[in-house]
Amino acid sequence: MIYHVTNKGLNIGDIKVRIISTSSVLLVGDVRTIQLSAAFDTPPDSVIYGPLVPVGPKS
Amino acid sequence: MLRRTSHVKLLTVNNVVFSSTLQIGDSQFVDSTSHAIAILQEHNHFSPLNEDEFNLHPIFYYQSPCPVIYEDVKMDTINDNPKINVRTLDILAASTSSLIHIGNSDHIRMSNRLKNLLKYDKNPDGDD
Repeated sequence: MIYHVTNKGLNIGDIKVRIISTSSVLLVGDVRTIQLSAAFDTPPDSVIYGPLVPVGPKS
Repeated sequence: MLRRTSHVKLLTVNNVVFSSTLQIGDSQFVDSTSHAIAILQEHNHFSPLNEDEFNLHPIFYYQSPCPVIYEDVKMDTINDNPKINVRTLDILAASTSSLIHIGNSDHIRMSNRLKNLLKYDKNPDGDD
């Protein structure tokens, strides 16, 4: 597969961003390949019951 | 080769925290990973997190969902205008392995795994 790209002029005024978070990218430029992945696990599936045993370093 | 140059007149960044990067200039390869466990518990007794905690949850050891790039794509680029112009770039914060990149790159790979936990002293449903 041959992929032709013609880049004409690119002129941006003002970019205002609050937060770029958790493995996100803000790119001003060109890139050949880009891969992004995110895994997120949240309650109720991750509820833990029972007496709280302090987790500390192994003795 | 990617030959356009990026021009930013004014760049304002307030915070770059938790292994984030502010890159000005070209790069070849960026590989960024973030692993995090967020625990909410009933009482305010802090205990340091054991590193083994990361091996207890499958989210941290299952294979990365990043697909393998095997397609043979020939890309040919004509740059009529060799500049990318940005007047101002105003960023409040970059956090947890994120990237602000001004310039070209060949390959970027970013990954994030986050586990949220709720810890109760006893079952809130009252079953046991």
